[in-house]
Amino acid sequence: MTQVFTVTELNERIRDRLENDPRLHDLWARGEVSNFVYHRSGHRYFTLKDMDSQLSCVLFKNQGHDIGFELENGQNILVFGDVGVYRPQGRVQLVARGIKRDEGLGFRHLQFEALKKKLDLEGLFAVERKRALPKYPSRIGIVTSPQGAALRDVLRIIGAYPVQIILSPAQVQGEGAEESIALAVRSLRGRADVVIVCRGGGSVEDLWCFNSEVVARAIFECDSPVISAIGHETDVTIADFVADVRAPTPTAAAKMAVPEMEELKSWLIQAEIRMVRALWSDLERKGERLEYLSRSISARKMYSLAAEARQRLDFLGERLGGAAAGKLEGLMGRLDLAECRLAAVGPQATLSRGYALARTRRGLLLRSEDAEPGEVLELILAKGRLLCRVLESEDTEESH
Amino acid sequence: MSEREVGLEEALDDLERIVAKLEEGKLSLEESLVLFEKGTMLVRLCQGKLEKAEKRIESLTGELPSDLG
Repeated sequence: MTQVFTVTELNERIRDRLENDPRLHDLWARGEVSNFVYHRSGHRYFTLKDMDSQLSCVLFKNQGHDIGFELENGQNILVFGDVGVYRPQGRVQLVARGIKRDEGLGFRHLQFEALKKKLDLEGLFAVERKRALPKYPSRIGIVTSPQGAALRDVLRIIGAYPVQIILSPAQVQGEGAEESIALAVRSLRGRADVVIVCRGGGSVEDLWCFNSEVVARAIFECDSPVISAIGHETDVTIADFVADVRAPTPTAAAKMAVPEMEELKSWLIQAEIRMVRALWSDLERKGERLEYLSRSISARKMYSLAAEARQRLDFLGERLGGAAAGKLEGLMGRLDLAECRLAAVGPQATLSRGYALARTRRGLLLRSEDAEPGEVLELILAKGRLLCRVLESEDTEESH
Repeated sequence: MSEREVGLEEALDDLERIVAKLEEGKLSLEESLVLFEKGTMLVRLCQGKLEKAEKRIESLTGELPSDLG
């Protein structure tokens, strides 16, 4: 039969299990202090955390006299103690018996600050030099580990967007990573419209290569805008300061690099509708003057264009549906009107306004090169016709 | 017109300009029609490029994990 515990019994059982495990006693843990509270009772409570995880800690009053310094949030420390369970809340915690500053990490921090200051003074972080990202890149350079999840995240977001992806593989942690990253960035010179330098989450040590001067300078010298996405949102490296844009994650970097496909597709449809609409209102406005159009656009051509545009509107209406289709209905009405006006303007109407049609045996003349000097032309007037000879041919700039 | 190697960016930029120009409404009807035809062609071109969904991945060192090929 299954046993049913009370919460108290269960927490006791968990506590017994943890507190009887010798591997959870007399241990050192490394991390950063946060949520530090120095309680009236004299006990110190805080959270020990690293990039990915955190653990409640307590330093009881009777253990706290001799740590030799006062705790502060953000400090890197080493805690000596035992894992226990605070039964009333069922909370696993580290009961400290000793605390030391973690000098190794602290030293790195000083190095970080020194390099940051130096590069800042040199202008590597200057806002004025941040470049805008291209709206529609055709070549994206990616500096990262070919094996990493970061690369997969970036590729997933780019998805079907048509773009050339140039992977510049780099070793993104461990010995030699700094030079590898710098080289990978430099190798993309002249090959990309935008560069993403990315890496997934990791320990401070893992990400440290992005705090190096060689990487900073390589990014600074990159000939296309650089998006940095290193670790998690809370990790900020020197590389992030130098990059043109800092993204919180590789996924976010990819979203910044390419436009959204669906948005782009609907923009294209909108562009077409706007063009049809603009053309129509143009037709309406110029309706009365259509008779002057006889030179390069025949009434027949206007008809076929109108028919084509009408089909196009039908098609767009189907694709858009709903409210937008209603708007198109209105456009169609205006199109009818424009067509009526066109109909009123046959060649005869034009001719009666003083225009003439010129033709040779080959057909109607539209351009000067349609007839040779010396050739005989037929001019059709509103009433009657004339036979004429070409004296001279002269080209004028014509856009069609 | 040689439209063989017009990039998406160039095509979209052109299209944006054409739409704006048409909407401005200061053109002759002939010019409008020419632009309209060009714009419609660019829409087709862009749609074609987006539909094609050709994604080319290459690696500067030549090595590409098999799942990315």
